[in-house]
Amino acid sequence: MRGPLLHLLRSLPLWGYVLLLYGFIFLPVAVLVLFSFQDSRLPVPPFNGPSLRWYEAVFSDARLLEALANSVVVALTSSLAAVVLGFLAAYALARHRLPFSGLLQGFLTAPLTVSYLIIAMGLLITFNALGVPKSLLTVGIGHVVINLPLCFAILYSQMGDHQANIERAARDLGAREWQVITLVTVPMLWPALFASFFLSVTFSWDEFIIAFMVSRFDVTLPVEIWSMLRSGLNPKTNAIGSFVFLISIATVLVLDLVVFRSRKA
Amino acid sequence: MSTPAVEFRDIAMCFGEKVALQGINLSIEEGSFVVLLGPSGGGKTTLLNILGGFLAPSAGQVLIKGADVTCVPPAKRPTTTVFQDYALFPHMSIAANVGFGLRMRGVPRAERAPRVEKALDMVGLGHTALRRVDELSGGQRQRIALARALVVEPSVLLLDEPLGALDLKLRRQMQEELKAIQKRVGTTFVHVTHDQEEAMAIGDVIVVMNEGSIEDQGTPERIYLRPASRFAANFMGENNLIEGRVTQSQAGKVRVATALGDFTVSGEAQTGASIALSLRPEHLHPEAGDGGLALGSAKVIEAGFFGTHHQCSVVRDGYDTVLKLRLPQKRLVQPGETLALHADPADMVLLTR
Repeated sequence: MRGPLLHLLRSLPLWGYVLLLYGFIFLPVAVLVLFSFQDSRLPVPPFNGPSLRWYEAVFSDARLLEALANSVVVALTSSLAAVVLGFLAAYALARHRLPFSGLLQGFLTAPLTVSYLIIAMGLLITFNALGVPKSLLTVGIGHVVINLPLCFAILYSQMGDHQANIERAARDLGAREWQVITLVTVPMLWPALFASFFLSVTFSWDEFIIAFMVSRFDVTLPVEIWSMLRSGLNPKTNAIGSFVFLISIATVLVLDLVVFRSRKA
Repeated sequence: MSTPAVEFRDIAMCFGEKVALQGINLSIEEGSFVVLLGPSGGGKTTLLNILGGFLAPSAGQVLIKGADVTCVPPAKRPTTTVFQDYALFPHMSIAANVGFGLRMRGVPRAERAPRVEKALDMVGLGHTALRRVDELSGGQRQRIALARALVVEPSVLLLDEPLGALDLKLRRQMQEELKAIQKRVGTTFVHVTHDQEEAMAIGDVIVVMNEGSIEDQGTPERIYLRPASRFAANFMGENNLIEGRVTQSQAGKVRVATALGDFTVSGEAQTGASIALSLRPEHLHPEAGDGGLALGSAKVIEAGFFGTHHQCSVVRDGYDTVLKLRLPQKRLVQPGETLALHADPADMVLLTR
């Protein structure tokens, strides 16, 4: 009987470490979510609840709902644009000999290394110089700028020699170029396309600094939350924060399920 | 003479500075099973890619059934390919894979189904039509690739080392099947391999390639028994090449002096020319037999049992090149043993290249 007990004792430090680590990551989120169910006016202990009054407040706030809709529109359209542009760039660089292809590839992925603040400032200056008014469109453009390199990198990595040979087989069997792309390349890369789209959606959904700097009247949800926070802490901000977190988690889960399932099959 | 199925005329191919092919002239007869055999980098795959339309030759012409296809893209050529990695479409069912070529040719769905079924039955995988590619084994994928390429009834089927990824037993089995299928459909097959046993087992004609040129071409028997060059003699099976010099030459006979003795062999060569004699291990005997000339005695340095025979490495006194010879299955042999060597000059092949 000593064996199992000893084993348990030995694994205690391990479990302690795991708990600490996950606690460090998830405790703030857990506290945020918990106090979104607070029944009083301040999101601080003691907890008295649970209550859904702050969620009710969120969903009866027209400005918040409008910002939520804006966020959804920006996330979906900018991600779609980033995936399409990233796919075309990856296809060109992976399948054709282009002059300066190394340099082109470098420029395409370089924005990954630049901070969002710098990108936001650059975009702001550019839009001002060009006289483009700040709007949801400029926010969307900003999100394409940050997500395109990611989509390109994911898709490019999936277009190896094996895939090139499969496309060759399609041509050999009589497929024209557009048929190769629509019937073979895109369906074959479906998991990678899906993954890059959903990653882009989550990044756009959470993104604050670019959305803040290049928007004016119509704003996305993170910007609206920020302006709410300026008037102090309030369980309502916890409620909307929890909602944003829920959507992010749901997106990642969908992504994981779809990509994981297709890998397994 | 009828129009050949494939004709290469003066094909040359350069990749930058590197010459991959030069002076390739080759005719392939309708309905034959041709094997392009050679080491890696010999140019055989490059030639296959030129035939499939995946590469444009730097010079020369490619004709299929008399029509110049040099500038025709793969999709428009009457050729299909079985790729080394099979290159099946991973997102489609087996039936959709096999039917792809027909779909691209605008064959209506109702007509496609029975043809796909027939092609799958031909390779013995009719029951897999609805499965996915990743549910099949390597050998099965190979057959699907074959069915997919044959269902569109190409004039020429190209096979790019299709058996390379299979284990030995399965490879031998697939060789037989390939040969049988080729006989049944009657399509011209052009098959690339570096495995000389595979080439002999399946080819009607073998084209031996090395360093971008054709070394030899002919039936397996002809190339094995009467190779045209040192390279062909060495690449096709085990061999002993005995270097020598021509001392006399007259009317299809030459007298050759070598370290193993002087022999009269048939062939043409100028007096004084450096030549080599090809002598297969199975043509070196420890007993004199019919027409055998004594070559002196040799010491066995290595012996191995290969099932059908014993393979020995021997060194003859005064000749430091190791000779290979085969002894019958039941003849026991030990390293250190001394053997008398005999060979019939009729088995020796004069090699001038």
